[in-house]
Amino acid sequence: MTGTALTFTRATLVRDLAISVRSGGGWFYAILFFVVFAALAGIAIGPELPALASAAPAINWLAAAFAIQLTVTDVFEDDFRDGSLAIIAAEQTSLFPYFFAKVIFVGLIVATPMILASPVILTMFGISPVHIMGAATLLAIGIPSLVLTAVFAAALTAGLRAGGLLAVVIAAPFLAPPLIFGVLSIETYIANGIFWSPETFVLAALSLFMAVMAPPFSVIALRLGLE
Amino acid sequence: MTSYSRQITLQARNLGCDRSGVPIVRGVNIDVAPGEAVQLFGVNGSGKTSLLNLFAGHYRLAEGQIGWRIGDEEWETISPLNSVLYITHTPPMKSALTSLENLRFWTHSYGVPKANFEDTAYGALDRVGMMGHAMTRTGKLSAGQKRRLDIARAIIAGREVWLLDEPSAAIDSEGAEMVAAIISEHLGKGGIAIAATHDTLGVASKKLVIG
Amino acid sequence: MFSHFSNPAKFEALANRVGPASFVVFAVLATIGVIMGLFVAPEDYQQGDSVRIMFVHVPAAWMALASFSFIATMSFIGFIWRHNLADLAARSAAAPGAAFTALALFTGAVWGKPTWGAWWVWDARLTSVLVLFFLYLGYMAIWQSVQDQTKAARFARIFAMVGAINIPIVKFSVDWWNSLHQPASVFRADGPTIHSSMLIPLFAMALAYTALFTWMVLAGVRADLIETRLEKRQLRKPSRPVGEAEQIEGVNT
Repeated sequence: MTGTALTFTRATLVRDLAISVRSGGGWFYAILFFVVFAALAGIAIGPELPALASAAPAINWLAAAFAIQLTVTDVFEDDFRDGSLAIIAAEQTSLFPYFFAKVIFVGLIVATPMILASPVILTMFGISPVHIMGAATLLAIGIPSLVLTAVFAAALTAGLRAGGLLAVVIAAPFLAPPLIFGVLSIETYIANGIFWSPETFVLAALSLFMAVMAPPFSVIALRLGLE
Repeated sequence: MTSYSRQITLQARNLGCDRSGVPIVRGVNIDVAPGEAVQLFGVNGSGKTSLLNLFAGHYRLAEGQIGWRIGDEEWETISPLNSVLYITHTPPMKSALTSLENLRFWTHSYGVPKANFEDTAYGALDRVGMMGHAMTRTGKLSAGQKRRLDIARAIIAGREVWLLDEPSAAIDSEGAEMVAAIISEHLGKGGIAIAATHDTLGVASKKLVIG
Repeated sequence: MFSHFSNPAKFEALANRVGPASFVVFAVLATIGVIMGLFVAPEDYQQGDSVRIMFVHVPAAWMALASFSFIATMSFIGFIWRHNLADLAARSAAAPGAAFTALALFTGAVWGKPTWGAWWVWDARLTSVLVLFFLYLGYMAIWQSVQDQTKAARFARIFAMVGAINIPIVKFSVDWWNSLHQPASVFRADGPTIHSSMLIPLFAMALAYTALFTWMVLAGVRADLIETRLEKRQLRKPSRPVGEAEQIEGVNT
């Protein structure tokens, strides 16, 4: 990446962070959703700790997947509507710096707070303190695949009618593998104490895979949206 | 007033554009040499904006060719790197940010050195009569003021090819003269401009009516 | 030969002949398959008569995957060569593909009740077919939500290609996660292990489904072509330049 591309990535990131902090705390909804979803799941499951503990990894991952998916659907919407994206696409050499800025933006304001909040959720669900940090780290290893899937779905639905819900439907098939290995890696870790289990490696591989797949297809999709 | 280091020529032959598989425009020929401007006239829906989007690279050519060249180098089918400035019908200003912050983002997008940002930005704001609104959030600005801000973006960009979609829309007559002067200055530096307009821009240019 | 698939007029001529023919093939083979499957094939020594649902279920599951592969291939062709007919074929394949997938899921559940004692078991194959069903829904949702069909085609292509890449990953994931189902028993290196009185109706049904699929895709593409032709009749003429470009004078130069 050349210097100008880096400058542009940083400028886009700074702009988006400023907007999100100023416009009524939009960044707060993702983490709020995450906590509320987990809490409601806890209430629905009931107060028995063994039942809660066995559901904890699944609830943690589901809450993260949906919170990310629902907040990220409109990540390109504003730039699409006011013509910013059309201008950037016409004026810049490539859309990749813009795309990466959006991914980092989502990583910072949506994914990071969730990783930080997950120890609290896991504790509430009766996971022993010994395993809390490891389980949160496993979420951090797998969360890039959730973020990249969500951003890809958002790029594909940018500027479409009913974009938001459509993005969730589109992302669903791609969420299955990270959900499976996210939960399995936590379960293996809690059951056997092995952090770097084969499941963890697959989870990391899924994140890497999405890091390779999502950018080119998302950029193509964004350009299509302008056509 | 220094000339642009790249003098760009644009030639379009027999352009055709489709939307949803439907032919919208056909048979447009445009020649723009450095320092020249073309104004596209036509009723709503005649395809002026579609033509601009062809030059911006967003739409695919249904027919014909577009050629670009720097000086007397080889003809290319895509615009030279970092040469295009695009003014769309909606000024891309984020309402949560101030005028200056909006401009800062765009300035970075054009690779203007950081050290020069304040001078460049204030100079441009002054030029479009928006000096007093530098610290105002653009959500509080009127449509015309936002349009002026977008013209400031054009000044800062320092790009050679200006694609303008109704550049004086929502701007008062005094402002329209200011916009015309800025475009003329751009042409004086050897830049080129293609503008879709209802009304004449007040700039010496070629006029092409489609309909 | 290739022009039969790329030129709309030739394609329609081909579709007019092949379409009805595939329907006849479907009717004949489905009759043979159903009769042999219900009356000739022996019942399973463990599963009894409920094994007969296999003749509906297994080919449907094959077709579910094959249809999506078809959609992905057509999308790839559309993506590389920007060919309109490929997109139309992909779109027309979505509804029958989704129907086969739904049929596979439904018959799987009906078979599962007496066999596993539950309507739904989270077994690896059923689960991956369920995810495949979501892929179909997403694919059709994209076509539905974009008004401009040429534009919808471009989005749909990307989704189909990325979705196709995702299928083996989903399969791998759910296999890892859980496998209760029997191992595949038709395709083996050392030859099929099931008796020919079952194989014949099985393949008859698979071919019947393929013929039905062909008929539906051809009919879908034809309907789309006719619709486009009707729409084109009502179009306005494209705008053209009125005379040559002329020089006008500016006010302040």
